[in-house]
Amino acid sequence: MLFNSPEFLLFLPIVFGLYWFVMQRNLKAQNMLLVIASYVFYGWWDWRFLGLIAFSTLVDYLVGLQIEGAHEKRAKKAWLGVSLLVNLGLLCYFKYSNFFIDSWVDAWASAGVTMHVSSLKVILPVGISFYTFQTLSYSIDIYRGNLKPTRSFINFAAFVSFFPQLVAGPIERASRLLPQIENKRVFKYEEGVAGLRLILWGMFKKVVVADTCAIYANDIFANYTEYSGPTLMLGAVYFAFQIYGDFSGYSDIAIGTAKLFGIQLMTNFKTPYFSRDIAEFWRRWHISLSTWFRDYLYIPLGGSRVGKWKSVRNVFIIFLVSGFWHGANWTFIVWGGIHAALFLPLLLRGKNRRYTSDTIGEGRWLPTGREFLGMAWTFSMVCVAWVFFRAASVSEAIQYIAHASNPEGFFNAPQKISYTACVYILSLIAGDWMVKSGSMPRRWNAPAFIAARWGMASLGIWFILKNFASEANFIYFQF
Amino acid sequence: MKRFFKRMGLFSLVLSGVSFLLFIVCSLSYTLEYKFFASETNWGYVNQRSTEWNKNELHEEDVLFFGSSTCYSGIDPSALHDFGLSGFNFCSSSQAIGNSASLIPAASMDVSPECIALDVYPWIWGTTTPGLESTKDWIINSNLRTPAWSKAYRTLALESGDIFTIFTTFYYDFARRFKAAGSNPNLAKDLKGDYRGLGYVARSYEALDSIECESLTRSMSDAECRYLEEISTHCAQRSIQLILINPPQLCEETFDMPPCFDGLAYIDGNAWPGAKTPRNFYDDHHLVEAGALSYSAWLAQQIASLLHAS
Repeated sequence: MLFNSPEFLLFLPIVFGLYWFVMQRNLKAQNMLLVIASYVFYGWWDWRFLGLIAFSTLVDYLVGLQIEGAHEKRAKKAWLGVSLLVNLGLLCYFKYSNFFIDSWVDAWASAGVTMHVSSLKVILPVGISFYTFQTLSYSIDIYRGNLKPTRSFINFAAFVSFFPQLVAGPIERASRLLPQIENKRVFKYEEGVAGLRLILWGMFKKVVVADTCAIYANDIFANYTEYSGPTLMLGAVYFAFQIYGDFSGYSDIAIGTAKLFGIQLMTNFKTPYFSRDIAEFWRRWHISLSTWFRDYLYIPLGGSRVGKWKSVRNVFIIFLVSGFWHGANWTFIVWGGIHAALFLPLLLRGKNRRYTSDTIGEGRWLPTGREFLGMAWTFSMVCVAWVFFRAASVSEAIQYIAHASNPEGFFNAPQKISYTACVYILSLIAGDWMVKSGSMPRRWNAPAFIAARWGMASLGIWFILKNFASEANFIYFQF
Repeated sequence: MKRFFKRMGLFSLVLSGVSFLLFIVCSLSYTLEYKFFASETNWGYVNQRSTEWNKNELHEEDVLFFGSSTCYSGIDPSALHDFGLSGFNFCSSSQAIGNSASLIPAASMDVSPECIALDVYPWIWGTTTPGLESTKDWIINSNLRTPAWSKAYRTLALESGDIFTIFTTFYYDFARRFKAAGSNPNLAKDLKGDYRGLGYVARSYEALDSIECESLTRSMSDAECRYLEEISTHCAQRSIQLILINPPQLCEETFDMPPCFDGLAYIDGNAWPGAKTPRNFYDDHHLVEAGALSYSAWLAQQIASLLHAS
């Protein structure tokens, strides 16, 4: 089931009503309802893959108990190995098997040996990369002694399958989400209102901004040989806002929906396009994934405290793996490589933690000139990397960039300028600017602003309805 | 929780108020109407067709035509006059059987025809809901706003499942009280179409010299069969003869006769002598004016003989 579908508009109030009015007094029943609702939500897409979630849930539930019960380190390690094998095995089979087969055949072909191996007909189950990482973190945290396993299978199943974040994150940690599921929830008015606002803002980002940008980005990327450099640059910008609106919109709807059920999910995006360097970008983009890799891959490898060359190696590993996580295509690996190459100079000069506490334009209406230049440079580099992310192949991405930098027609105005898309993008930027430092929402919440707030929300709803028709999928579903 | 629902209730009121304001402002400005709802178009001339139908207070048409663009640009109802019959063409762009199923009862409130001729062009078969293009066309461009027609538009919008189209229906129900469809000076024009009256649009595209055909096979969906049965029942209850028409196609589409066609009168336009003459067409299935007039004369004769026989 998609968030931007008429079915979800019926599904959410029904589950909300049952959760707070019928099962309010019974925590177990509430959690059971969450599991059933989550399986219905997922099964709406394809019920056959419910078995995979159930299997992954059962394995990690048992592994968690076994690790806790084992007395020897070796036994604990073996049980963790089972979890890694099952989860990464499922992920590899469903997501990467054809990539490995094709790469193997291509490698032999480049050596002059022709191999006849047919690709597997494997359907990628929606959200598999998200929920396998979530269950993995549970087993790893128990192994490390950071978490006690839950005894309740229902609670654990609710943690794995919690429908707002099941198919596209945020990837939650058990230490954060599981205690909320195990303890009684209370409906709070402020959280309910904040949840609805986030759902509305997320829908606006997805249905209005991302889906409108998608029309132009798809056209430009599909016919890139026919367009001039400025149009191709505009195409990359459209895609930048398409993927941001799409993915952060999904996260906002997920976080907002969870709030309606009394559950707090982690922030997944913090206005990433206002970043002043690539290190800051990665502290603001897909935070739940980047922190997952930081905690379960980068730090165990030694992070940046293992000497220069090992640090370089670790940075490349984390970015390449992060790229590979997105999909079985060399384009994603190159995308990760570009980000690694942009990040490394900052790390080597010790400047990768310059912007950890403040935000751009802190306490001011506008950024300083230096901040603006940093932001523009970072955004440009991110857009170059997005070309690889969006293109069908690495060679296509290189050709796209070559066409984009062709001096012929370089000073012509870009074709495909959509004023509607530009207005939507500017609304998104304005909205992000308002929330970036956290000071504006407090003033915005004042009773004096209620007419403006509700008027804007009404117009937002109107634009969402106007653009609702396409029922377009979320990009990150494919990951 | 009580406070939360109270707040939501209040917001719903504000939302209704803002929507109403939007209705008023958009009905005063074509630019805003375009930004917030839709833009009118002359394509297919639903506005002129509906205006002409409205002008005549006493309807005595014998034959009403329903169907897609093959029908509105292919059938001139005035050809029926030679056989002592009269008719009107209610066809519109991509008007599928599901669309006609809602429009036919509305038209039957204005007139009791002897016959309903339903164009069943196979190329647009295979859907489960009424076509959105035709639904929007009638909602936005029609001047027929009696309760029966408005109900037909609402039914179409609901069955299409498109939420915004449902809201658009409410807006045009409101806006058409103040301004007629077709009054917008910046209306998108159908430059190759000329409205000739009785719902017929003459097309002035270049005629074909030849065409290369690919084989096409179509099948009707169960939903479309159900819509056809609905139409058939409606006609039977009012003693209206229902005739199905497969329009002429240069590249003839093959299909198995759907079971819901059983017992219904059927005219195959491909039996028209000009059906395989490229000069009668401007594409595979749309007729130029000369072709349309010749086909209309032939079709009128077929319909007349079916009606006289019954």
